[in-house]
Amino acid sequence: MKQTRRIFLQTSSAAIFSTTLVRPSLASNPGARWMGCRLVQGQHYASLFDGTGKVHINIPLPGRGHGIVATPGGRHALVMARRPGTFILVIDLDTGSVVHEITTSIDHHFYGHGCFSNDGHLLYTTQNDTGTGQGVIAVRDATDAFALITTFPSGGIGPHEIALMPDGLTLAVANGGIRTLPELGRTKLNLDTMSPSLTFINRETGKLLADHHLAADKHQLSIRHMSVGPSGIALALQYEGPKTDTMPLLALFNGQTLQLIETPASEARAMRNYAGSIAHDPSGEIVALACPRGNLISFWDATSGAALGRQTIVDACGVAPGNQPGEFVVTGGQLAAQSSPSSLTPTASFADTQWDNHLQRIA
Amino acid sequence: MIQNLVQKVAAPLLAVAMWATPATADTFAPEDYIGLVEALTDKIVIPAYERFAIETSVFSETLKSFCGQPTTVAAETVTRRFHDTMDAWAQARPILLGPVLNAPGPARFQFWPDKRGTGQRQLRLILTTKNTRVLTAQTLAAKSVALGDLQALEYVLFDDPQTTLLNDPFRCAYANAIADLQRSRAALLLQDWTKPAGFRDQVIGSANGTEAFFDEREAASAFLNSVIGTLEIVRLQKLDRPMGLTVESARRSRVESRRSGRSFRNITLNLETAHAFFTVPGGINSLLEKLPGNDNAQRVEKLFTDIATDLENFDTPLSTSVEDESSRPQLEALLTKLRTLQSLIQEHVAADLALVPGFNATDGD
Repeated sequence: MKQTRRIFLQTSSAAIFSTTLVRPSLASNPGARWMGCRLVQGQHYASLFDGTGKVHINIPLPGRGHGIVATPGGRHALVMARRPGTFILVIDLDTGSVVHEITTSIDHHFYGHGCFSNDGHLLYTTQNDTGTGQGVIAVRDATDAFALITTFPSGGIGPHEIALMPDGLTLAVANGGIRTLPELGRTKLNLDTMSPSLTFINRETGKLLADHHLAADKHQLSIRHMSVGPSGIALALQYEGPKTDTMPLLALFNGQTLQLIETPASEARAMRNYAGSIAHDPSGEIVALACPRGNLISFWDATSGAALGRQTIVDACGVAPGNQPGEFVVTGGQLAAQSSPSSLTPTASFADTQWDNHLQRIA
Repeated sequence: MIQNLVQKVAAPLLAVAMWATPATADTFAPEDYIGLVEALTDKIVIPAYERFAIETSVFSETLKSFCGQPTTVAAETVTRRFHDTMDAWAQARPILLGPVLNAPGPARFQFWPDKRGTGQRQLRLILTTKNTRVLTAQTLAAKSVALGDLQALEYVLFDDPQTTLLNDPFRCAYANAIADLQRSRAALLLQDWTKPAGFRDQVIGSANGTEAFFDEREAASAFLNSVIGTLEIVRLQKLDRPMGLTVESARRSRVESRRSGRSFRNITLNLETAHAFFTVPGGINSLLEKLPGNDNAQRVEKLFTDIATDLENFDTPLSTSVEDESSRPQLEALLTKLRTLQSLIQEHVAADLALVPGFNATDGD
């Protein structure tokens, strides 16, 4: 829900303190940074911290934030509003200041994610055309104050995470399939008929190149988040059907087919039908699924889909690559932690904090 | 390669580490949470929906009778019954779980805020063209929620003092259709909770897993989230948004129920229900009291009481107060207390109860 701009304007950059708990290998790379959104005493922030838990940037937000994307080159980070928000803040990572705010047109809202072209000139964001309910990709000129250049269809309803494929030309879009309207809040309007998809779009022409769906009897598995790795795309799912059903939450796209990964029943039950974010480790061989309803991070082989283990952290949702192969940084509740399939070591505790959905490695 | 990598970092595989589980996770047994959700269901939710069903029914009957024989005296009864219905809705509005969330959500009872004015434009068109297709609950149900909700009813009743139900038969018939639709929707909402295998059973049976809840803690979290969500709606939608950043940017048109002059009353009743989640026998306070040395129940109580007193102390309607420089400090103080209360519940009471307040998982994103 929209946070008050009153607080945004009145709040100083307070609440930046954390308690370092241990100094594992994260601290061995002092240049590494991670950025996430969090709630501190009723105010939403975007915060940049290092492996010791030291907060370097703490920006109050005008509402709840969601995804974060760094510009190629790493000079700026874009903090995106959670749906159905309408702001993106452009933050200068050297000065820690907001240098620009992007807003949608009145008949659109953001879905919380975006990506850049490899040269950093173009920003692509997922948006909802509230008039038609169709998903839209908006293209903005990063060299001209992010002026809107054009829009094209996302190929589905409820486009969420978007990523540039390694060819530099193709956009991959996770269309969640759930229709919402801003005037009806976050009420889901089409759960019986939802049809999520993974689409591929030529970023220069806007042409839909391919779309992939899960089996018809899995149409209530919303495709929301993804991570692109060397072996393909790993997708995090959330199930919108009865909670008495137990569903797999990981799908892999190997370049040709979209495959739902068989999940041991005990693992699926623990994950509670909801994965909130996904990331590859630095090697690209392991993916971590964050499951906040299950209070766990679940680890998988990025190629074979074999289950590798899970670690427990309350309200786990932020997940990003760590420093070493097999390592991740995760956030949940007040904590940031270093994790692998076999261990989880808290690195810092942040006072009065609730870490939000996503975590982005910045450097 | 992958095998080697995993062996380096994983010994043993599939190990499960327990970190950062709330300190009080084992303080409460499943029956504690079931006791809580049962108390909240049977002492707050069901009575609130029963009252809403009754009041909408009485209002519908009153309007039906009035439109057949409109008199000035009877018009006063219509107004009184409208406020009774709105009181019942304002008490039920904080229930932010269960069937009320089914599409199209709470907007089918109250489409507000209407940020783009679409509802109002549709209403004006209906009243101008006297479109007879909205004159039965059945046909009205198929139209935009903005044409058949309590906000539309308020508009028809109060927007134009010169054109009232007394002198405009179309307006009377339209109001009658809206009230009839609300009656049927309120009855269905109650039934969805109380019928066999309805939402009450989903809540009470949550310890064994139901279609709605994985377990009793998830059910308890949904109730706690209702309180948090209500505080946020009151704070941001009902106060902060019409206030604007400055008195110059305040907008009385953004005030809820301004035409019927019951904006503060809605807020008061919303907060009374949220407060009752703590105070009813078997409610949240009964769990907090089991925690030695924990004073959060007292802190919550003081804030709810202070806020209720602050609301009583406003001597002008909210639509006037938001544009009045002298009322600004009072409104700002109210916002601060609401924010403190929300933060206390979301960040501390939730932890006390070993509940994750659904920050990352409430409705998915």
